[in-house]
Parts: sequence; structure tokens; C-alpha cells
Amino acid sequence: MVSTVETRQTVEKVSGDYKYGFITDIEMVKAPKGLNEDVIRFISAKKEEPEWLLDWRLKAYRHWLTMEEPEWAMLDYKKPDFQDIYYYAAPKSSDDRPKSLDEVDPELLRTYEKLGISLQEQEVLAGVAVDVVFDSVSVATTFRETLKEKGVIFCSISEAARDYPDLMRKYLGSVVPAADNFYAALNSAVFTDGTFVYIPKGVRCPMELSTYFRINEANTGQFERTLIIADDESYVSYLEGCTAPMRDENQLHAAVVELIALEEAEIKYSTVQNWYPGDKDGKGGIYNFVTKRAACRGTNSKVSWTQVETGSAITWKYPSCILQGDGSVGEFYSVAITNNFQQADTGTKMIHIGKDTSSTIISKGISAGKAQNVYRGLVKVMPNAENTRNFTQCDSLLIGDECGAHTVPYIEVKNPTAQIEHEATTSKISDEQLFYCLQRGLDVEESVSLIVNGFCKEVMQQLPMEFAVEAQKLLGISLEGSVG
Amino acid sequence: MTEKNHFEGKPYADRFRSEQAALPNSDIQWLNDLRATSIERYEAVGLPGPKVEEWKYTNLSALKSEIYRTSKPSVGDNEKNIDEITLNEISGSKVVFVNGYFDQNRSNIIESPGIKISSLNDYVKSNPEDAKTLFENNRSKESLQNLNLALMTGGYIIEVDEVTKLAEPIQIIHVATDTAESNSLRTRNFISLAENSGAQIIERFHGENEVNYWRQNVTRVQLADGAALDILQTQTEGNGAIHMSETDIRLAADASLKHYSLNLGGKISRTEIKPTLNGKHGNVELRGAFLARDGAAHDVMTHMKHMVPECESDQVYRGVLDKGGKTAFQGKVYVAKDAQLTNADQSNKNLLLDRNAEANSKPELLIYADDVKCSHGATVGELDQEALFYLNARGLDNRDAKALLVEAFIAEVFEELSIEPVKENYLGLARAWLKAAV
Repeated sequence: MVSTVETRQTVEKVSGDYKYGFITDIEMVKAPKGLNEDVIRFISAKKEEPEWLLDWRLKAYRHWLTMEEPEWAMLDYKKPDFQDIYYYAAPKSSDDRPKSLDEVDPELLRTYEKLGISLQEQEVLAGVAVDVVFDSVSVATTFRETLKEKGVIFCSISEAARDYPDLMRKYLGSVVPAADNFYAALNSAVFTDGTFVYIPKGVRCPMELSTYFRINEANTGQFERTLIIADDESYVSYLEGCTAPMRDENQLHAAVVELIALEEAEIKYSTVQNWYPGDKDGKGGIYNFVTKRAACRGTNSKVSWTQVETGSAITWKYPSCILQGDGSVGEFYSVAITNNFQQADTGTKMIHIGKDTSSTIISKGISAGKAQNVYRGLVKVMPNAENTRNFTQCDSLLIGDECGAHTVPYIEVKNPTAQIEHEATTSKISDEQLFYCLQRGLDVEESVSLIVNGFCKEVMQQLPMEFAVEAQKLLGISLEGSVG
Repeated sequence: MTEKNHFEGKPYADRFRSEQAALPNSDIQWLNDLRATSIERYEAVGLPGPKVEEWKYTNLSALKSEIYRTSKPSVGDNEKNIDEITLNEISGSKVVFVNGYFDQNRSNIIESPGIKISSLNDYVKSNPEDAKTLFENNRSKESLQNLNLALMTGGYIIEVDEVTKLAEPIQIIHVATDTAESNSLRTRNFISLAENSGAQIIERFHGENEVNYWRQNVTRVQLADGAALDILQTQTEGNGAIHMSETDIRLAADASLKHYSLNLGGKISRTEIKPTLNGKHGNVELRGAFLARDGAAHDVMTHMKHMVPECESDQVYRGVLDKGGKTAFQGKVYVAKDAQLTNADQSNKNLLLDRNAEANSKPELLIYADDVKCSHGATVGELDQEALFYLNARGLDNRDAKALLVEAFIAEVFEELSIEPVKENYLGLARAWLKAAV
């Protein structure tokens, strides 16, 4: 045992812990602390929003006041004090939004370089269009011109509210209504920025679109909103990444993501969630309370969610698909890793409404340290959904004897032609597997990393290349110190 | 006061206050006190509403619109009913309850060394201290359990001594007659098996059609080291019945439990089975089939608790839903922090025979130990068209082919059953039900 402890310590020294825990010193503009109608008016005014959007926010806020914080999730945490949060924090320099990267505050650019997202480099080399959200505002969006030629709109949601009011009014809140749930209502009231994407008819988006979210300020909450509309016969692949500095207090992140796929359209949405998970003793970390939902409205439309969840102290997240269009397809691929005191309650909902709809759910949960990991999912088949098909597989891996892995699937079927299958297993890394790797010269950490990567392979394969590499590394880092 | 998401507890508490004096053994003060504290506990919570997670699929609003009266001892002729559901091939003791009351005349309790079968109401009178301890050791926070305790009218107590193994199964027969209209029938039973003993209990719930009654049967089971118990239930309640049966089983080391159930009757039927494995090498097998049609809703809820290492549990449930039938399976497997080397399996398969049928399944795993093997599987679908075609091609018409396939689907559940007459009875009941279905 002594040798394994030593190995562990060496590995920890070499690779360090959370890499993105630094703080950027930047001058910020903030709204007063706390939440009331004036703060919402302040945010709306800052964003130069149209009247209808302010009304929409206020309506959501008033409804939110009547709601209670949900308690059904298997999570144990101190509830956030909603009056102790800054709802708006923006880098001062972006008051006049930069037209090109040259005008972006160099401090910000350096921040993103530290995160491994060099905006300039990506603009030139990688060919990935990036929208960057720093605390409450979008600070830079690359490749806009190239995309414009194709008719693709890729901008911050504040800009969209000004420049594309028709699209915004039609689709905002159409998948996740303002009063949907406690956190969605809060987000609808105070969302500060986010990304807006519109892919016109028949267009295959020429590059991957990507957003990086970064919480920087202390005591701030991040409330972003993403709205993606794929018009008839279009295709888009979208990536989302997030990080935050290491702080002792818990910070709240409550986002809403809405996806709309029309006739024959396809949206691929990938997330690598790496918010600060808190330290080894469970101190600090992000509360990640997110509502993500996709509506497959058109016939044969398709939405695919892929998520790698390694960060956050608490995760409460269920990316869902409403399969309305006949023949529409929903997919959910998830890897959720929890270590130390992390808690994750995550899964999906597949609501089959249209005929011949199908869905696939592959969920891999890995729990180490003192962490708790829950898969919670719903597969629902409505009476008119003929010939639907669902396949669900949830596997859990336990590392250490102090963690927990839980599976809570709901299956509700109201049509006899449906074919629904659910399978779940829970196990630990077997001694044989470990022995095999050790015998071939790998150390314990490497072996575990290899085995875990194999366990998650089905999901990792779904990720776009740029993300897959990052995600694989993250797996290793997240599990550090879990074996010994 | 009533807890959030619960229906108000007051109507049944009021009912209790008006009926209290007429309940059995109402001259025993400690029992009256027990009933009174139980109804207080019930009233503080109320009846679970549809927003209570465990009652999500079971709608109890029927208990709110009508406040059932506690049943009175029956005087009518029930011979026919009782004969109909008695397994004559089984020569063991027979314990009969009519409308929730023990019926001395129709029961046949055979004296045998090492085994004691008593009626709850007699036991309370003759062994007050033991009875008190029994009730005290089996308190529950659940509101419906407290309601049962407050308003119980009868029940049985089975005690088996060390190493005693019963040669013949005991038959427990619960019937509801047509005089049970608008009545609640509440029974409470205790089974305790001492070290290395063994028993088999056949329990049957039956009632008249078109009678609107609410049965609530609660059983508490203690299995000492090495004890082995089989419980074999059939539920053929009348089509107006609300049936609730809750069995809580605590297993010590090397103890084993087999619980079989077949649910066919009632408009709302809820079977709850809650085994707790408290000793190493405990073993639990749960098997059940539920067949529902014509507005009937059958719910099965299992809650398997692995508290210690090296135990095994296995659950197999099958649902067949015909026109207007609805089912919910809520299975929970809990593995405590140090319960290493646990093996727990769970399987729930549902067959939908009609457009107008519904199947819900929620197989849950809650695992806090790492060296375990736990799995669950759930499926919902219709009959395999290829299998049907295969049988059609061999000369079976659609009706026979369907019946054959569905029967095979259910038979799997009862395959390992060793008591031949019971197995035949299960399959016979299922077959008769299917005949009307396909």
C-alpha cells in the first residue's frame, strides 16, 4: 500500500489539480448585489433590450417568486442565498463591444490562452468559430464574416435580441418556457448573455461552432442562455466548454439551452463541463443547475447530446429531447465523473410524441472518493407514437468504498407498438483487469485511467476531435488520487 | 395538519373517532391507546397524493371521494366463495378471514408441535405483553401503516419454533362478501420463524365483483438465522376493490425468503414487498406477474435493502396489459455502505396487448458499496411478430398463438415453484384471464 500512496503523491505533484483555477484581474462593471425588479431592469437596459424582452423577464421573475426550490434530486447541499449574488458582472472594457479580436482586452485574451483556447490561433488554424462568454457577457465571437456568407447567424444572445427580434420572439422560451422550473424561471428573469445560432434552410454549417464560458468574479452567478435553431435540412455541430477559478465559496451557474430542429435538420451538441469542482474536502465549487432541452419539431430531424461532466460541486442537469416530428431521432451520450465530495444528479428525458421516433441513451457514471453519482432518466411514449424504439444503457463504475452510484430510470409507455429496453449495471474495476495492466508495466493510476477510458469509449467516440482529446485528459485528471 | 402533497387526514381520523368503540378488543386500554396514537400519526401526514414520489403511479383520490367505513363481522353465506379459492390438495392448516375478521368456524387450524397459529384478536387478549412488544417493534412512520394499525379488525400470528419444518403449507384465505360495500377491511399479521425453521404460506385474496371495498393487509415477518419462508400470494379481488398488501420482511444470517405473487383482480391494486437483509448470506427471491384490463391499475413496489455483505437478491416481474389496463413497477435496490459482495438482480418486462394500455417501470438502484454486482433490466413491448408468424405457419390461429406466447411469458415467473398444486393454480388462473383477453 505504501508504494501506491507514493505513486499517487508523485502523480499529484506532477500533474497538479484543477488547472483552470486562476483568477484574472480585470476591471468589472457589476449590478448591485441581490435580486429584484430593478436589477432585472438594469440588466435589460445594459443590454439595450427591446420592451417585450424586459416584460418577458419580469413575468418570469414574478412567477419565480411563487416557486419553490426543487428537492427531489439526490443532492445534499447548502441552498444558495439568492440575495447574495451579483447577477450581472461584465469586463469594463467591453462596454463598447470589440469589432475584431484586435480590440479585445489583452488580459482577456491571455485568460483564454491560459485555458488553452487561443482565440487568434483558433481563428487562423483550427477553423472553429468561437463565442466567448466571460462572466455575464459575450466578449468575442470569431469567424462571424465567414459564417455570414453562408447565412449562418452566430452571435451573442444580446445582439440577437437587437438584430433578429423576429427569430428571438418566435423561438425564445418555446422549448423551455419561462416558468418551466425553478432555475429555468430564474434564468429567464436574469440571463445576461449566451449564444444564438441560426442555420438557414439547406445549409450545412461549414465549421464547428463553439462557446467557452468562464466565471471569473467572486460572488457572481452565471446565467447564460443558448438558443440554436436549425432550419429545414440544415446541420450544425456545437461545442460548449466551461471553467471557473478556485474559490472557497460556492458559485451558482444556472443556464438554459434550447435547441430547435426543423424538417430533416440535425443538431449535434457537445459539452465538456469542467467548472471548478471544489477542493478535496468539498469546499467551494460551482453549483451547476442547468436546463437543456431540444425540440425535434420536423420530420426526420435529429438531436444528439454528448456530455462529459467532470467539474462542478453539484450537477443537476437533464438534457432532453422532445421527439415531435415523425421519424425524429434523439440521442444522449454521457460520461459523468465525480470524485472527492462531488455530487451529480444527471440524465435525460426522451419524450416520444411522433410516429417512428427513436432514441438512444448511453450513460456512463464513474464515482470515486466520497462522491455520489445519479443517473435519472425518463423515456415516455405517448399514445399516438407508433413504432417507437428506445435503447437505454446505464453503466456505473465505483472506485473506492465510500462513494455511491445510483440509477433511477422511469419508463412510461402508452402505446403497444413501442419497443423499449433498459439495461443497467454497477460494478467496480476488477482485480483481473488491474492486474493485467500492472503486469504489463503500467502503474496503478495509468491502469485506472486506461480502464476508465475504455469504459467510456462509446461516449467519447461521439465527441468531435478537438474535444475528444481534451475530454480524455480530463478523465485522467478527475480521477487523480482516487486509487490507493 | 397535513403534510405537503398529501390528502387531508381528517376524514379517516373522524371516522376512527366515531367507530373506535365498536372495534374489536375495545375494552383493552393499552390497545385503545395504541390505536389513538396511531391515528394521530396518520392524521399529521394524511393520505399520499400523486405528487408523493412513491405514489406517483397510484391514484388514491378514490379514497378521498368516498370515506370507507370499517367492516363489521359478516353473517352471510360465504361457503361458496371460500371453497372456490381453497386448494383442496393442500392438507395443512387453513385460516379464513371474512371481511377482515377471523372466522373460527370456517378455519381449520391443525395442532402440530413447534408451530403456533393464532388469531390476532385472541393473541392480544391472551398474551398482552408479547402483543405489545410485537406492535412496538414494528412501528412505521408511513401514514397508511398507522391507519391500518388504528383501524385493524383482525389478523393472524404464526410462530414457528427452532428447527421445526412445516410438512404442509398453511393456507390463509381472505374473502370479501357483498356486504362489504363501502367498507374498509384491515388486517395485520405477524410471522416469525426461529433458527433453522421453515414454512410455506399460501395467501389468497378474493372478493365479489361489483362490490366497492378497500382491503389493506399488512404483514410483518421476522426470519431468524437459517430460517426459510415461502409466501405464495394470489390476488383475485372483485373488480370494484382497492387492494393494498404490504409485506415487510427482516432476514437474519443465512435466512431465505421466496415471495411469489399473481395479481389479477381489483380496480386499484398495490403490492409492496420490503425485504431487509440484516445478516450475511441472506437470500431473497421475488417473483410476480400482474395482469390488468378494463380500467384496472396494478402497482408493484419492491424495496430491497442490502444492509450487510454477501447477500443475494433476485427479482423477476412480468406485466401483461390488455385494453384499459395500467401497471407500474417500482423496484428499488439499496446497497448500504459496507454491504460488499452483494449480488442483486432485477428484471421487469411488460407486454402491451392493446392500444389502450399503459406500462410504467421504474427500476431503481441505490448503491453505496463498491464491490458489488447489481443489474436491472426493463422492457416494454408488444408480442413478437416473428414468433406469432412462426406459430401461425404451424397451423395455430392468431388467438391460440397469442395465448401460447403470453402464457409462456408469464410461466417463466413461476417456473421454479416447487409446490405443484400452487404452480398449477397460478397458471390456471392466468390462463383463464388470458382466454378472455386474446
